[in-house]
Amino acid sequence: MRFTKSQIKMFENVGVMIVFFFLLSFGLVFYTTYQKNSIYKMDHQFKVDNALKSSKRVIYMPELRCTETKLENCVDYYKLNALVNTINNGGDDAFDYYYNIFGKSVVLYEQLYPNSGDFIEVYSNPLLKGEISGIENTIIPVSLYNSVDQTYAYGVLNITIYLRK
Amino acid sequence: MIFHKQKKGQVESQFNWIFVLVAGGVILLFFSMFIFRYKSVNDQKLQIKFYQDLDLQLSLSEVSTTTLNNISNVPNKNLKFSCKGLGTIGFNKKIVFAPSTIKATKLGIYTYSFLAPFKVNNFVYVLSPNTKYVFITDRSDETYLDILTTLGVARESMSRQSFATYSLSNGNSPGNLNAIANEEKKEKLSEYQSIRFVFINQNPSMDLINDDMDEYYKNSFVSVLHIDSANQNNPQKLTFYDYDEKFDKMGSVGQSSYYFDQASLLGAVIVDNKNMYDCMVANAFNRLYYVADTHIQRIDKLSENNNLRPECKDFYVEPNGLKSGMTSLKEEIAGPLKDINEFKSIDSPSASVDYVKKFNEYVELINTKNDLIRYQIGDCPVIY
Repeated sequence: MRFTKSQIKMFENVGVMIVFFFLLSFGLVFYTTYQKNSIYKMDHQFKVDNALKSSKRVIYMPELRCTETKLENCVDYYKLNALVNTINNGGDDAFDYYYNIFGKSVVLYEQLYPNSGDFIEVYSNPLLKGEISGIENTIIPVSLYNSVDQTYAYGVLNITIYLRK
Repeated sequence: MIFHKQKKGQVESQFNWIFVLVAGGVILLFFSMFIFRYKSVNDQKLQIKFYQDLDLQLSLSEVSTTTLNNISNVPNKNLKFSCKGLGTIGFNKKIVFAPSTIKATKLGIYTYSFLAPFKVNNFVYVLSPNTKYVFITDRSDETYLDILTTLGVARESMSRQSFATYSLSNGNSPGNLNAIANEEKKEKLSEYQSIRFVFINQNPSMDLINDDMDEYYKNSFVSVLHIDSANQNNPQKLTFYDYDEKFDKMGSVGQSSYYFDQASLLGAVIVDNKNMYDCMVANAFNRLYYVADTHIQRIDKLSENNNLRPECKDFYVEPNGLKSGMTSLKEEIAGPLKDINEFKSIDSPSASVDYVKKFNEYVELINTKNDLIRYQIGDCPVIY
């Protein structure tokens, strides 16, 4: 089959267009992948920031802070137990309310002195294994004040925050 | 007319031009669309990023001991605050008082503690330099002085020019609002995005604001708050007046609510509508419910300790004592708001005068009893 001159020119033009659009699509794919990554990073950073925010909130909550002493990072023993009771035995409303503050996390008080190894689980609402994209763990040293005996115990608040996929 | 038959080459050349034009047009269209889309996506991305950063800042302010944070480099776009949250980001029970829309390049995030009388939470206030607060009051009015005290550093450092006070005590009458407008004209009042008139223990006159509306406030969002703290039978009353779009003027019938302490009073000044105010007060009382609950349980747990002096236990649980006051505050004041998640279902927490009076009564009771422990009884753990 013989092509006329104009047909060949037409094929040339179409060829140029195909190459052009091929390069363009390649650029677009590259750009969207880059954007997707950057949005993913932004989203991840947001989740990490939120996790840190939750950790900071815990230590300053009036439900936990000592009332009689100005010590930094001081947790009242009786308040801690009261909060545990509210969250775990206060029904769905109480649990839902504290979900707004703690989100998907586990908050644990671990005693270091005296009676090392004692622990109190304040809040536990982890993500299921398949839903986790990352875990942020924050350990805050705290003094646990017993206002009746006027004694201090020392321990850490172990806050594990689960990041959703 | 003579038609010349075109030569093959001429047709081909014309077709080529048409082809180039069409292909060029398609490519141009594609790139234009791409650029616009890219710009819009980037704008959205920046806005979301800013919303996320601001939300983080608001959350940290809730627990922070710092009272004022200035944020600069704010995208000069409308930031929408509502009962539900900031733009598309939910507040998650945060207590944030802000005007409904802010457009500014910097913001002030100010905090003040909500005490009942124990600390419940920080109230967070968002201040914009593009909002003008015009107080119409007697300069020695106690409520006005309370607001100034509560504003503290925010007034000094963030937006001094955003506050103006007009005293009506020098023989001036509310008729002198025109004089206010004239004075304000020098400061180019129209350049403010929103203007909030706050009448403190003065009868608000909508007619006078409406008279000046076209000339001075046409391009601004105008709202009016009336604070009535002097009425013994109906204390701590707030009345919010909104712009009536139907009649193109300020509505003369306001919606009532109440304030409970200095923190909520400042909240009423900062927001520009009753819905936002009531919603945030509901969130605050929701929080109060759980904080009070912790204190009540703490009293029970303290009482269970055998080392606690019996007098202390008796003092905590006596009739009209600390536990009773806390329980009343939790059940009667905060309780009705416990299950409220959406503003639509809120029957204003401050719907009745009795509600405010009871709140004050229980707060006073708890404060007095706690002070007794602190300063007189001794050897008993204080409750807050």
